[in-house]
Amino acid sequence: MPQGNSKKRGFVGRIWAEDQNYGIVRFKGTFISRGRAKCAHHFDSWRLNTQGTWWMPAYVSTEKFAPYDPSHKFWFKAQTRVWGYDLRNASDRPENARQTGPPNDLPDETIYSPENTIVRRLQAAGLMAPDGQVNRILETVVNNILILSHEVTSTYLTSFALPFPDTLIPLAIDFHFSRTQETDADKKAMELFSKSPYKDQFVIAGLFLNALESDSGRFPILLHGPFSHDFGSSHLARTHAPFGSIKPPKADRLDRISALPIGSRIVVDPWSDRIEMTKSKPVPLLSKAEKIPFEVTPFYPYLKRLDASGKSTRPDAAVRGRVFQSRFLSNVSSTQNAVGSGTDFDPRTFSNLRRLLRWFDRLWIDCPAPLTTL
Amino acid sequence: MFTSRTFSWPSWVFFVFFVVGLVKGQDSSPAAAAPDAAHTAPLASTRQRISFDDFVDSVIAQERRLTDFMRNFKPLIETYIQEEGSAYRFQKGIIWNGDDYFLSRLDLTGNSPSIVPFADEETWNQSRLRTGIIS
Repeated sequence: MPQGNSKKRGFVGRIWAEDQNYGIVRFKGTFISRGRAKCAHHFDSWRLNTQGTWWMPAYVSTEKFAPYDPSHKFWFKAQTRVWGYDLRNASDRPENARQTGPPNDLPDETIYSPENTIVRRLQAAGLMAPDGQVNRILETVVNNILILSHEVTSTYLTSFALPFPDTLIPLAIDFHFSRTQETDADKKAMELFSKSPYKDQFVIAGLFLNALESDSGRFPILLHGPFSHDFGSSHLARTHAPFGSIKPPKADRLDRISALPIGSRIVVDPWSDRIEMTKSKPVPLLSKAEKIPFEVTPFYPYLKRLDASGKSTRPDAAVRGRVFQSRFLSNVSSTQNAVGSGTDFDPRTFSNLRRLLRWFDRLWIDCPAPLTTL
Repeated sequence: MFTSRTFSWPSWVFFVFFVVGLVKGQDSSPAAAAPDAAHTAPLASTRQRISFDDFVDSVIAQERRLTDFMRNFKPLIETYIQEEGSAYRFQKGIIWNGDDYFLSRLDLTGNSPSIVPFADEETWNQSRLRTGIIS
């Protein structure tokens, strides 16, 4: 497809197309221009069969090497994800979900709690996954637990004059809590953890928290919550304390992985926004260099066509899923189910369950072993 | 987990990569088809022997159809970047280059794709300063 002055610039790489409808499923390479070849970014873009016969953009991994470094070290690496194509049906209650719009316009407002409104609002904006498999697993984790009664309602309702656009949601919905509330939540989380089936996995959890702490300076944004407090600050320090007395295993053991690369556990359906656990078995490590906790890695989705009925048969492969949505938003969503029916959600249970889940979730998503045997 | 940042050059670069894949070779008018039309998309027949040139033509034609189809959507797009190495910063010493995160809504419905970043505290305060809400 060379056009015009394409001798001076253009795409250099490979393009993969499927053999039924000739849709591009992947392109990998770089976009170069003469004289600036060393400044080219390398990208690997994947598409998924999301709807009918369409293969729509879903993942892009990007790498850039230091241009004048003979050792070819990375300058930066990045992951780009696209989702939320079908936001009109992204909510647990599709009839209420919309691309944009104020929550107070939603029907049946009187029977929903403010927290339910938040949930629906986030789902309609594509920032929260609908109910699904991941929720049910988290639900098992938090089943039959007592929760403190911290509320977020007042903050949510007074921060902004409604309506507000989706793009202001990270500012409008504020889950920050006072220091006292944080302390209470941390104590409760540790108490519950010590009585849970996972209490014997303190060593692995301690390894994970050690890695989290040591990388908090390296990846500050990763550990910073847009809706709530940082993982890297007080919350992390306090939860880490009980593990201090446990002697950690030797870090050079290949079977001891402190944390996985980003998004190793969760995969997001770009069309429906639903999140699922990856089902692929972990690949045994051959070298310590393969331990890359919290780091960005290339995408390798397992490409599948939708079946005849249009039902998605993916994903069951090692896609590096999206962390942001799964980590925060599945937590919120799970609270809805953990206390019973969705419509009678008790707001008093919301905040601390969310905090507890966040803590478990953090272990569960990037920590390789502890909570996967549910 | 992440905090978002104002849409800056790296994110713009990724955005361009994304859009290049969609817009390359496209010169058609916006599609009027609804998303539901996806189920009935008229596409090439199933497996058959075709020449390489025909194959390339088919790929280009399908890409143009996809470009038109994509005009029905406003998906979310996020980019998380990890920079390697460390550097000396004034009054801070040597610190990691760190990471960054961008979250935006990608609007493909117009003639040219655009992005609307989700606000973070920094951009929000800046916009309020500009509008005079904060003096």
